[in-house]
Amino acid sequence: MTSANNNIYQIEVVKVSGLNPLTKSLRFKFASVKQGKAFAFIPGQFIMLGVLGYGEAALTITTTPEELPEFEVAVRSIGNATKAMHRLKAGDKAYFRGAFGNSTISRKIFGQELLLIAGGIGLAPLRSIIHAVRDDKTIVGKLALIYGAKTPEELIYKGELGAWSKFAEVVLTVDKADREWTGKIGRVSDALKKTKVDKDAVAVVCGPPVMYPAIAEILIEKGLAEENIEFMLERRMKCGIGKCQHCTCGEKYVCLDGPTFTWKDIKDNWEAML
Amino acid sequence: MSLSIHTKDLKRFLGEIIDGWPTYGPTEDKTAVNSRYKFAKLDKAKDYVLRYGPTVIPPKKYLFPAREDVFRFEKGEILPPTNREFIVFGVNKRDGEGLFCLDQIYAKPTPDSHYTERRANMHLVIVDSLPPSNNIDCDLYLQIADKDHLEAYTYSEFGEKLVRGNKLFGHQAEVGTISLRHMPDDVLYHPRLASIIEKSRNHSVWDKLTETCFACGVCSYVCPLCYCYEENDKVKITADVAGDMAGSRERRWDSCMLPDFAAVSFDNARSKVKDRIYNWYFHKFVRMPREFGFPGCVDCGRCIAFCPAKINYRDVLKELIADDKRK
Repeated sequence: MTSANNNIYQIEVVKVSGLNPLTKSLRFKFASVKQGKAFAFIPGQFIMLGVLGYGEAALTITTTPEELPEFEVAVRSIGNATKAMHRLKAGDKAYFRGAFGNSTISRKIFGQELLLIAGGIGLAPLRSIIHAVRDDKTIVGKLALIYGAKTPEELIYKGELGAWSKFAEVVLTVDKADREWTGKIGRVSDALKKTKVDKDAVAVVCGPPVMYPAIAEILIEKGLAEENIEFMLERRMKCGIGKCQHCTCGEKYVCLDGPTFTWKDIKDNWEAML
Repeated sequence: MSLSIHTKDLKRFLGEIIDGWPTYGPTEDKTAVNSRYKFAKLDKAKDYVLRYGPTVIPPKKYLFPAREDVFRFEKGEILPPTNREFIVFGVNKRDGEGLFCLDQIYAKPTPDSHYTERRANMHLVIVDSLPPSNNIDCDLYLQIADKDHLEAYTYSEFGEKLVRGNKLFGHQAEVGTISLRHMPDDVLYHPRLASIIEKSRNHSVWDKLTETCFACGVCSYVCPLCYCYEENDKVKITADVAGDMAGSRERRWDSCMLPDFAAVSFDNARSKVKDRIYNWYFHKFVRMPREFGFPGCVDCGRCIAFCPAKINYRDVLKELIADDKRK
């Protein structure tokens, strides 16, 4: 069992923490030191995390490679596999295959602004990139984050947002505020309209795909090039290596060519936008 | 001068193979409903048929079975499957081409180790009246030269071993010339087929197909080049469920025609039958030629023969090509 897809890493839960009522952050360590040393990834890449008996789910690593041999993922309890992941406690065993997919950060964005736009739990796949910038500020010129959720309760990584605002410009917005909410109210796209963005910025967007076309339009109006606007797509996935066919979008595979795609690449794709 | 075998000795040769390895090949069952031919385990050489019509399931099932365990697990341990050597005998050239394409698919861009390990254990003997060509990968090719002889071409050490020194094979004088079935396929290999289909998303043919297609997925199951799959964990129900669960990761054939194929938690990328039909054609005639250099079709006719709605993919392609010409 050595080739890419069947190379299985055995892992163990270190810590579980709640992110919002439906989402948990799981921290893992490798069961064997040797496997821990062999594993590498780039911020933005995903793994196929599995619990024996319940199957696998495609999840982006939310920590940076510097934190290896430990890493975290954020899991929303939706299906069979993710519900099983929610039942895991410290010391429980799991496994994963990967890492798969591409990443924005693999091309350094020297001098340019990196604008991250997240909706709901779409912040999770971007957290690794945020922490990579936190650890090495030279990889971007400037970092900005616009993050929105339906309610303040649904925001994830709430405890970290304050620390992030020390090295990044953070704009928070919710559709429906509660009494304590002091941030913006409205959609992510509304907040984006009011935000100043450099013309040569690179934007990475992750959230419900329904918001993607509107965001692309706003960013293009702000002068961003189509190849500098990137969207993360989510599809049903089984193999991670371009075989099982579940994640195809026209000519593209989300597992091989994605999960991050430039607007230039997918704007004319007949099934990239749901 | 190459080696050849008498047609009447073929079953004796097959008998030798059956004695040495688990052997699979085309058999005949005259009472069967959908097709009287099928690939099955050959226990005796007499079960084998030299010429077969389309079997419902192509020989891909020996490399990519309808259901198989990718691994088993017990007490938290992952146990890889064990593979053993076997022979597939008597596959015709077209089915051989299908297997060759499947080899390319599972090797590119990242090899699927589960497939490649099984493939390494499979030996293939092709029997056909057409001469061999470079779009097949077998150990031994037996070309039906005339009614009395089959000419042997070996392509591996294993194939060489089967034939060299075997008394059933001898040097024959000139065999009769073979008339080649030459079929210029201006549909499947139409030079602009990919771009025609790519631009046809709003063509009425897809609406028409939606009215007849049951979206049952049979065309995928019977296709030698359909290779998509689903994977799920299968758990054994035992008294000790709470502690150490035992079971396996099962890989099974899927079909892009089925409703949930592209469903995710928040949406379904292809909830409409029309989109699923279009994707089937797009995959076979646009994505696959661009990804692998060949279309997802060897023109074996199985999807036409076994479609309950009597849909003929060639008619669909012909209509699209004809409409493109008219423009």
